[in-house]
Amino acid sequence: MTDIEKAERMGRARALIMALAAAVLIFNVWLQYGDPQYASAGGRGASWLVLIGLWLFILWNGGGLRPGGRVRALLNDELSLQNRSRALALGFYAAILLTLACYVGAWLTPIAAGDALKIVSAGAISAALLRYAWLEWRLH
Amino acid sequence: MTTTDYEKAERLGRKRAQMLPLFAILFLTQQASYFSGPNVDSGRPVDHIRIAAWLAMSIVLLLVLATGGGWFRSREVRALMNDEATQAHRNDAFRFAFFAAMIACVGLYVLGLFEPVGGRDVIHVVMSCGIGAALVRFGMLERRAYRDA
Amino acid sequence: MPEGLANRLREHRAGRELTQAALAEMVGVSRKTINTVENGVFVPSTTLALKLARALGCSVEALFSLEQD
Repeated sequence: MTDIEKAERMGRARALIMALAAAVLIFNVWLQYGDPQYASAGGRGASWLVLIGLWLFILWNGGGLRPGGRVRALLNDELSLQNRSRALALGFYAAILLTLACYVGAWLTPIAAGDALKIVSAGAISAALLRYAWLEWRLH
Repeated sequence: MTTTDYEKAERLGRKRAQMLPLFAILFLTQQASYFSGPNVDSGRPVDHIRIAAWLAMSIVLLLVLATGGGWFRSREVRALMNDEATQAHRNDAFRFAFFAAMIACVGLYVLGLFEPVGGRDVIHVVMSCGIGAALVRFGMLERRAYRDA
Repeated sequence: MPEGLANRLREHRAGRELTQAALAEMVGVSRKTINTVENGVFVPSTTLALKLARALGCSVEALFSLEQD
């Protein structure tokens, strides 16, 4: 398989994995919302950090750390960088709008700090992942 | 496009580059007053006004970032003010601000595991980091572009 | 098509009997980038445009031009 073909296959896989990751993040927020066990110092509390940290890292560098330099360069070429930039812009908007929504929501029902942070971070990262996945997937 | 449009866009663009970091300082100063003042949940009318002012300012600043400002100028002037380079700067600012907001979320989450933290307080901090970072980064990039010209 | 940009990349590539993948390999980008440039969805950077022109043995102006030209 040539490097081009490898990069193409990995690109498709990356788009799919990102879409699934977004779904997992949202599901986790729904699962953990209002549960104090997930807001305490310990394994459960830290699990959220690991999840968020992983996907922030992927959004930052585009993933594809395993393959060699050339395949990674093809995976993260000009177009992919532009797509990632557009995705992160949407993530920023999502973060701010969700933050505002949580603020307004807090007038109607008390929202714990941990839950608000999970909603904002999961929403923003999921928006970025889904946008990136969509932009990449539709080109294949 | 006339020479006057170019001159207007140049002047307004420079002004915008100077104002953006000032907006960030203003926004962050307003946030500081939120944390240093009495609890906004006390229900006093002045607290409602403070919250409304903060929400209004957040939305206006977000719109400025999204559109580049110059709302009352002609389409030609706005197109010049928001050309390719400015759009690239804005995208860069949004990337930067996204990660700034997420780092704030992570930091506050860690803090919340060990210390009690208020829901509204974290929201204020995340908003400050997000919008403040975007304004500062966008302003810096625009200022650098004008300085090098 | 991005505002005002005409694009003859597909014709030049086909004229040299190159696949999108082959051209992508020559300039160091993914196949989908070549595809989106040909379809006018993506405007390449100056660097990429120069690489494409060099790979196809023509000028940048032969590949891309302003629509009113």
